[in-house]
Amino acid sequence: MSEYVLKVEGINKSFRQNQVVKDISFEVKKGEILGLLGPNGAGKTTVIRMIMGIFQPDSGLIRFDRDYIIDKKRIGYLPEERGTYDDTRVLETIVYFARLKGLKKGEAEERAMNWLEKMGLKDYARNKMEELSKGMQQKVQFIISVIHNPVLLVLDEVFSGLDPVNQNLFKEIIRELAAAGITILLSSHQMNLVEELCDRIFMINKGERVLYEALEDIKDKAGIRTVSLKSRKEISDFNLKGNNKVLNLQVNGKAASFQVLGNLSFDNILEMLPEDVDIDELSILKPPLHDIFVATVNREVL
Amino acid sequence: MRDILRVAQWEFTKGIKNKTFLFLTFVFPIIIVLITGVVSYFTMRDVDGSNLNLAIVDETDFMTTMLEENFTHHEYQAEFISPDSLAEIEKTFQEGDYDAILHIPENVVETNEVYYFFKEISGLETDFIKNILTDILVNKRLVDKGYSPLEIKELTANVRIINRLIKGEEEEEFSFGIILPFFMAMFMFFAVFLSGSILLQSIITEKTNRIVEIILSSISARALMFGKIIAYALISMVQILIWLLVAVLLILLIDPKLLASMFTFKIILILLYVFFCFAIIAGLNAIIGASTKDAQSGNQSAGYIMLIPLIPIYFTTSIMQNPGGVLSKVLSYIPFFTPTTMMIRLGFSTPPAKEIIATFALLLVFTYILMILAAKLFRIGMLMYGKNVNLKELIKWARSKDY
Repeated sequence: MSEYVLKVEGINKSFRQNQVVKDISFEVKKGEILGLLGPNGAGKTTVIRMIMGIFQPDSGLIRFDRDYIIDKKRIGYLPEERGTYDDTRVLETIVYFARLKGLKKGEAEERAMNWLEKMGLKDYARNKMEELSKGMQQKVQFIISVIHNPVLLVLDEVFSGLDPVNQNLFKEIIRELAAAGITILLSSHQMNLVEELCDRIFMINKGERVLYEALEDIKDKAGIRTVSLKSRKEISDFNLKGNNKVLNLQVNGKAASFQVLGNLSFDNILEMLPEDVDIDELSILKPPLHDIFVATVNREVL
Repeated sequence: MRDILRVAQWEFTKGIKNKTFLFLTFVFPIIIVLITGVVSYFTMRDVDGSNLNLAIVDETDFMTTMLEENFTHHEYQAEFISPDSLAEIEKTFQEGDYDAILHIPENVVETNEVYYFFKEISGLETDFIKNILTDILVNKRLVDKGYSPLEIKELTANVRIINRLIKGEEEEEFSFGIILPFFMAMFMFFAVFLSGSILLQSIITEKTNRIVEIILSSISARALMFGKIIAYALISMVQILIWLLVAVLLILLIDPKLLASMFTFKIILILLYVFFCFAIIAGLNAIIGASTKDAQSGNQSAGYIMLIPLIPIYFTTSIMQNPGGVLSKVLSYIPFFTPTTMMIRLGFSTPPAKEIIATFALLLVFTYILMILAAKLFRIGMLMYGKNVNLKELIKWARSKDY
């Protein structure tokens, strides 16, 4: 058994004169959640469509590990453009797609009902698809992509169009699926959700790779810490020790905050703090993915 | 194979509930029966002229009595008037509410000419008048030459034609039954075109709303296409069966003897041609559906393409009159036209067995090639985004080896 489920090797894709994917390579490892990030028009969906065989890459290879993926029935796919039938009933629609994935009718119906219950759509099983709201339809489409317990689940812009409550619901379910051993490739704009879910990040911009690492490594490498603290008494004098470059130092009554460049550990930062500050609260944060994303896209140096 | 069956099952249950399909399946036969009834009712009324409000100006001294006799005999209506001049006739016509005026001049025996004035084309129903006048004039001339009424009757006796159709050893009185297969074939072709267009709709819907991405992430494009084609073939069969049932009931009502001419070997051949016709239409629709970007442009191009197999219908009269002629033969061997042409030929004649076998062989090969091509183009077309594809690109796809 190899380590990866899916391996993308040097794929390129142009539409007319416009090269939208440039020499992209990555692997999706067994059991991980890989986040595919990038601003609008970066080429995420094109990459996913090539993985799903909707487009053929102009060059390069897309390889599934034959130990895991025997055929496409082992993959679950939630496309970015979410079409449904209008005039078919919710349950029968799910069952049809489940059967196309190879499930038997009885099993498909049972699983479909369980999933509908989980998604809070149990009472809508007999409704027509067109009677559902957009968010409900998205839940049904999500069910369709996971009902057959895929080995690999590909979710394109899974959170878009969902309200915060449903975003959380989806997040929890994706976590459960990952815990159950399903390998997941997801693309999203919602950095906070990606940050909470993904093990590794592959970020592209203008069709090119800009980041490809474990989430923690990315944060470490960003090389900046945001420190904020509260003292038990008024801070009169706040002189930091050491030679690290400090940014945005602010002192306000009992509170102080600053950013410090460098890949510093917790202890390093504690050593920097003035001794006469009676610390009540202290937080040392690596930069949020959102900031890294924005900075990377804008090619700023943090 | 299992994928094909699952798609077919799904599409069948969806298609059979299609409103257009249901409407046409059940309402269409009713409409046809009504229209046929109404049309034949009016045609019959018109032909006998009994509804015509006719005025007759007779300037001869012998016509009136005989005309009256004849008209009464045939239950026709006519009023004899005697205006003073020709101008008076026209004036009477303008003022009166006659549909037509028949003017018989004094010298009709010599000139053999009468005048017929009418207001509207619907009043132009002169065959029965011609027949009656001819009878009277011939009679008059013969009497003038000194023949006795008995001699005249013998001399002017009509020839009686006895219709006998030779069918192998048997002989059969001519009846509506002979052209019955033709009408049945027309209905079947209609059914095939109808389900072909529902098939097209379902392909275009899945393409435009991108469900196809989910479907093709589970099964092959080939399975999807063939599943759909099988489903709509079955739907067509259901419709044909329903219509056949209606036809059988109607025939039982009209003339049960006709049933025998309905279920003949020809019908089996026609059914086979109908099957190939469906396969060709379905294959074409798969290509059209997959290569259009929305329902509107799909319908436009489909409108033209669907006409192609129908072209031989425009030549029905020529084919009918000369089923073994050059035109019939040429059309029979152009695959797109083969089913329709052969259906017309079968409807009105019995083509040679070797031609039937040859056309089936041709259709088999052609349909096979068309299906392979359609499956290939379908795969590429269905996943394309937002544009109509022209013929040049279709050819490019067909040549590509990627898929």
